[in-house]
Amino acid sequence: MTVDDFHRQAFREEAVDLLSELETSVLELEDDPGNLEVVNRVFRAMHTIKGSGAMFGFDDIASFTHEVETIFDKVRGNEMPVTKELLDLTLSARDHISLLLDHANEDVTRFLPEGEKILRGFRSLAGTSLQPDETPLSEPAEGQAPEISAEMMTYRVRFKPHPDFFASGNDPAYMLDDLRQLGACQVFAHYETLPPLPDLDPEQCYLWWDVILTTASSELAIRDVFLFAEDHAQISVTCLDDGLDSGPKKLGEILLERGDVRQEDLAKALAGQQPLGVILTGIGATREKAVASALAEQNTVRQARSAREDQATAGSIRVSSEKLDLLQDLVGELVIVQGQMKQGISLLDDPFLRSLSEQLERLSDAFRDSTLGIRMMPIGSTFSKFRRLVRDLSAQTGKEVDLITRGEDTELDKMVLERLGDALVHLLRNSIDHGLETPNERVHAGKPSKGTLSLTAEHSGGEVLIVISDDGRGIDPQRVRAKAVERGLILPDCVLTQKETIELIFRPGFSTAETISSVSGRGVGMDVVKRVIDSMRGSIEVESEFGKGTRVNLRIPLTLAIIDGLTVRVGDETYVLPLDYVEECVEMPCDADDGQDRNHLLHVRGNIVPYIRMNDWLHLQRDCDKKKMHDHIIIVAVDGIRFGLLVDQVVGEHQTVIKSLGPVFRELEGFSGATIQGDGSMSLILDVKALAQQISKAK
Amino acid sequence: MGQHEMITGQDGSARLCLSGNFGRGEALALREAFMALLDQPERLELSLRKVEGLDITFLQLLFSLARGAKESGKQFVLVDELPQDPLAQAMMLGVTASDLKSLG
Repeated sequence: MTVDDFHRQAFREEAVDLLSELETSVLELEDDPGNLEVVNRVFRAMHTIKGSGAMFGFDDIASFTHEVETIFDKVRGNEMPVTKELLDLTLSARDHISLLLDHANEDVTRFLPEGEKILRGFRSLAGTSLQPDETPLSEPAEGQAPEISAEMMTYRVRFKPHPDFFASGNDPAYMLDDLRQLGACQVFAHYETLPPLPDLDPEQCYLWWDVILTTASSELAIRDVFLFAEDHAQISVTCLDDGLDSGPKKLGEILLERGDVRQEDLAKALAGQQPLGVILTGIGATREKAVASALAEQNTVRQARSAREDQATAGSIRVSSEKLDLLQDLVGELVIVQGQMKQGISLLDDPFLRSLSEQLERLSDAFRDSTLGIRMMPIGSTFSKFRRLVRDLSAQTGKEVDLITRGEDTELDKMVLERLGDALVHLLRNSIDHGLETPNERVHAGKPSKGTLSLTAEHSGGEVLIVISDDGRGIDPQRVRAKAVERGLILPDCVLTQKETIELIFRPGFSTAETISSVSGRGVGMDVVKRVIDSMRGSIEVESEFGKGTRVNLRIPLTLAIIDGLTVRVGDETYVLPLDYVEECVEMPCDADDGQDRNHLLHVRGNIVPYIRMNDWLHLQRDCDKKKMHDHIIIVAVDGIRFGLLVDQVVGEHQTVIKSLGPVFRELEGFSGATIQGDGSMSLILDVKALAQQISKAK
Repeated sequence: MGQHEMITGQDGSARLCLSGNFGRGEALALREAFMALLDQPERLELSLRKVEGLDITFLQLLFSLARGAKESGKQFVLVDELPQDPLAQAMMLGVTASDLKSLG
């Protein structure tokens, strides 16, 4: 790979991230069109794609993005409003850039008409003021507000001209223009001091301004703008963001500091539940404009801090996922060799070697954790893609959907996330297509016309619990049963609980949709979803109330690679239990379980716990060592089910590198993988969930 | 140079149509036109469709007119919004979309 290729590849990867961020930001703007911080985020993404694209020879992308960037510069300068049309066009622009990026090594002429159509839409929105190639493809042109960077400071300039300001030969408009030359400005005019029309002298100035200015210039340079006007105006320049780590000031603090609200009014307002700005304007304590100006100040400072934080994290580097996979494999091999070495050294009576082995184990543990940590990614990166999916599907089906997400910071191994993505897409599509009703149907059912689709993630032990729920029509068990009989999946007289009936939807080829739709496909998906989840050692469970809604719970292990395991011996074989499920180990006198007691119940501190004799389950001979005084029972807990596993010996805790069983043994129930032990032998990893299901059925 | 024309309807409504550029030179005449509109008994309408340019004095008079109408209990309606260029000028002077919306 040449240096040029390397840079072009780096640009592609960066652009993919930026486009994802852009999409998220546009969707955020749909809910909060006045959020200047998000507008700036869109602008910054376009600005970076344009600049880097031009630098690395992606001229089509750069010239296209340039026009979109110009539009968003107008939006952030309050010259254009955020409208649905603007956001629709921006999403189309995002898709177009993605298309150009995917075909960057080909002739993209065939895509250009579509790009031109999008740009025409933007030009039409912006009116005649936007012309293509208005400014060159370069850093901000003269007079154009620069992008906020980490070195910049944010100031509040309060500019109150005296009534005789015009007579002094000055015009406030010039000062506002001069401030714009210094940096990104948000200007708020205040007009509450205007006299009644008959008393208004047109030669006098009654308006005054708050300007939120983010600039690399000094406070002195800002004051210089008013050099010839300071005797005819009241001017204050306050640095709002001193670069310290304290959070941006709250709205009430800003209004108090500005003298725009009294302390007692603020205290009174804080007792209410509505946003402070709404309360304060509602009780007449301040003006809407003052609140808007203060909120802009808060947003600008927040954004400046965010830019600073971005720069602080700019020390990170981009590493290809293949390299991370290789690193993980190598760590797995190292863990195996370290285990073998530890076992070998334990046979030698050498304190020095034992000490070295212990040090190596500690280092190996830390190395494993660090490597797995590198691979962990917040699930929010996946969630954000679904906002667009839900938006598009809503438009396609005519259903109104409110997507609520929670737990975006929850981290999962990158490989798990990649494999999970398609399954989640299918579940969301199903919810919208089959679950949620049309607005009319919902209103008839006494529900709000807009359906709610919720996607949440949280840590739960060594797993992540992902829940997809909707308040739609739910699953009709009668229909599911009828369809299953029709398809020959069950016999007509088969007795099933409601839960078992609903679980029929996981059978291959099952579909209850009366019509095949392009949204959720041909009903071939739920079995595939289950297979994907199972292959990750996860579980899927559906709860549904007919007419009320459906909830799908996915439990996914944090990582697929290396776990902490507890090695046990049953007969002559060793097995591994994932340590996350293990609650405790108890000893039981050997004669307490003579193999005749089929109840298999154990008393643990007043609680009765069922247990499985692993020898029986595995069809292995029991250890008949006469010297053995006790059996060992490992108490595990899965999804609230607590049970024991009777084994012959607890060998100890070990890092367990999970190896796939391969296609031949994949369907083998009760085992989730295999691992190589320190002595080079192989052990099977027990699927504790499958054992829990057996206990549950036996109950 | 800004110009204005008052059209009164038989139903008692009055519409003031503005056209051209409005700066300090036109401010006095504009104030008189606004006061004449304010003196009308019923619904007060203002058309800004043909405004080509504006400055601070224009905005002062416009907001004072809207406030006067509100205080005298008359209905004030902006029948046409500002065209793109003068709208951009107003925004550069710190007038927000919600300010204009609050006018009528």
